[in-house]
Amino acid sequence: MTYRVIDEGVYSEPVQQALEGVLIERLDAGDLEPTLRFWYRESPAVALGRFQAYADEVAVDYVEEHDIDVVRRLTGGGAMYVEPGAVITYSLYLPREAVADDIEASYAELDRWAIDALREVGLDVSHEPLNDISHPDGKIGGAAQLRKGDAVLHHTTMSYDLDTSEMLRVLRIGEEKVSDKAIESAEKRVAVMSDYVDASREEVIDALTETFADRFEAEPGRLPDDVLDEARRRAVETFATDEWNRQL
Amino acid sequence: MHDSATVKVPDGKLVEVAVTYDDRLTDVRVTGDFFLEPPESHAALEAALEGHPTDVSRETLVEAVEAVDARLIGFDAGHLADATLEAIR
Repeated sequence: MTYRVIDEGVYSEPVQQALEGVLIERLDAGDLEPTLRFWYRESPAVALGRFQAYADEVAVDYVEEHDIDVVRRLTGGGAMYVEPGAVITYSLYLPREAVADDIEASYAELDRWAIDALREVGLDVSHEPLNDISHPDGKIGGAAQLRKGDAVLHHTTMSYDLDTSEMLRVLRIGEEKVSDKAIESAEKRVAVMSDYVDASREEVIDALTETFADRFEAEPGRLPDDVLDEARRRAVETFATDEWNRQL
Repeated sequence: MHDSATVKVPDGKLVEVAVTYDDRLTDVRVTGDFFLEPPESHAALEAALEGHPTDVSRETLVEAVEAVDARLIGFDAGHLADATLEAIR
């Protein structure tokens, strides 16, 4: 099995999230090879978990005043605040037969190469069930999965140099997850890579790509034009609409 | 009446159940940072919690949730039943 590695393309958050649906469907239909895709964003955004309540997770007035896109993902899990250049997000689209049936095992297995790559650049990280990538000081990132027919999507977002003070203004983490000493504790829960390593974000992405290519057969690839066209259409119809994003 | 309750699952997931009810549970909304396969089963999960009298047993709610063709990841039927009962308590 040869993976395509797509390491290009700057898109809005609605297009990024729309791409996930198009790509997992194409893989399921046999129209796409297994793929690793790195994300590049246009602007700060919130990627909301599929089943989260909009008003519980984001500071509604603040995101409106600052034009921060809040986009509901196709995957479950928690809200992530993201900034261009300050996070690393990648997606794996792969056949179900290549993934453990047991969900917990599949998260551990699909995170492993990335954790090994991060360790090689000097980060003390480990997989923490169900879906976290953790540093002793806090959570570096998290993964989320979606299954569709014979295809599995596993996407991960990690903080490289995220502005955690801004994150606390955008997300209602302090109120939601931590009962006392809210803000201080919440800030502590998130660890950012740049506090621990000298490697630049590009160097971390290179390390991820190299480790991936060592473990699996990988060739550089591009997003097919029709995939991008379809994602742009779905972004307008769904992922940029209040109907989808504020459904809960 | 409308009330909600949140259950925190030991591995860290949060499940919130908001219930509109009089003598029966008429509208139930389940939200949180959990996973569900397939995601489309979310509506059926909420529907399984609706229609019961307010003195419904935990066992009945668990059975109703377990009858839904869905894989609950990061939480289970017991968490949904507990949050539902706590909301209307």
